[in-house]
Amino acid sequence: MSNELTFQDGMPITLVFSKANVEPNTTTALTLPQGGVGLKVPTGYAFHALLISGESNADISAGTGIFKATANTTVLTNGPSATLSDLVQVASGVMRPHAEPITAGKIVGVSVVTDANWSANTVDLDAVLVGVLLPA
Amino acid sequence: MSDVLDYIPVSLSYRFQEVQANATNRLTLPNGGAGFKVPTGYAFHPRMIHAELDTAVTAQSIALSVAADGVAVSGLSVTLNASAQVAVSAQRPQVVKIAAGAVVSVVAVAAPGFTPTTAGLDVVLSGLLIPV
Repeated sequence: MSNELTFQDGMPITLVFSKANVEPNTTTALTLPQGGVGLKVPTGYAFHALLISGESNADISAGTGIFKATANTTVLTNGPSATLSDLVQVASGVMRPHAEPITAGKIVGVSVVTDANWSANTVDLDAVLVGVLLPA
Repeated sequence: MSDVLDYIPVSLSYRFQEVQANATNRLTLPNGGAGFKVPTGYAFHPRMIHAELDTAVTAQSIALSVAADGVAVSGLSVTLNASAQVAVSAQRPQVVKIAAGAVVSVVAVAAPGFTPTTAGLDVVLSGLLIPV
């Protein structure tokens, strides 16, 4: 499998994740709608995370929660991120392509990193991750 | 709408809980919707399908295909079995075109004896809307 997805600027992919009841001071993986862990990058391609949007269904009264793209559950150092905090219930962040490609065979996911002051243990979180598959 | 863009990338999330053996299981959008209706003036070209079971297959296999109005179309599919809990496949545009007005979805055909029947499925389907 190679080059089937090639067109002008790569094959855009949008992924939807969610998670409820995230604890403070943790890194928690969000899941696909039925509980799956994420998108496995097909052979011959790399996934470039470009945009992440995070949202809570209630206000974060204290602390922060940072949404980050992951590769095999490991948070990307140079991926897009979005931070929720008090009075910031929706946030998004972007990153250029080629900043930290996720290689074939790895699972693309999203985690939220909460600090010790995070007090929104019962909120529901949604995240949208947008990226492109480019030939490796 | 067909004059707006040369093509529109679309990614869709489908799910299914408790896959039935020896049956065609029709996946739904996260809240139960049947799928994505192709707008007038466009055809949907499936490009990539990604499927994941939340539990390892213990017997037989399950094949997932792109569907138009609930009927599988030839071309893009993946199969999950005891050695593949996650699978992904891709194809070029123009191979399969789903016409305007049809509802794009995913069907999962589980072989007789497929287990576990308690498994949950996540599928990501990506494609392009290209003017006809």
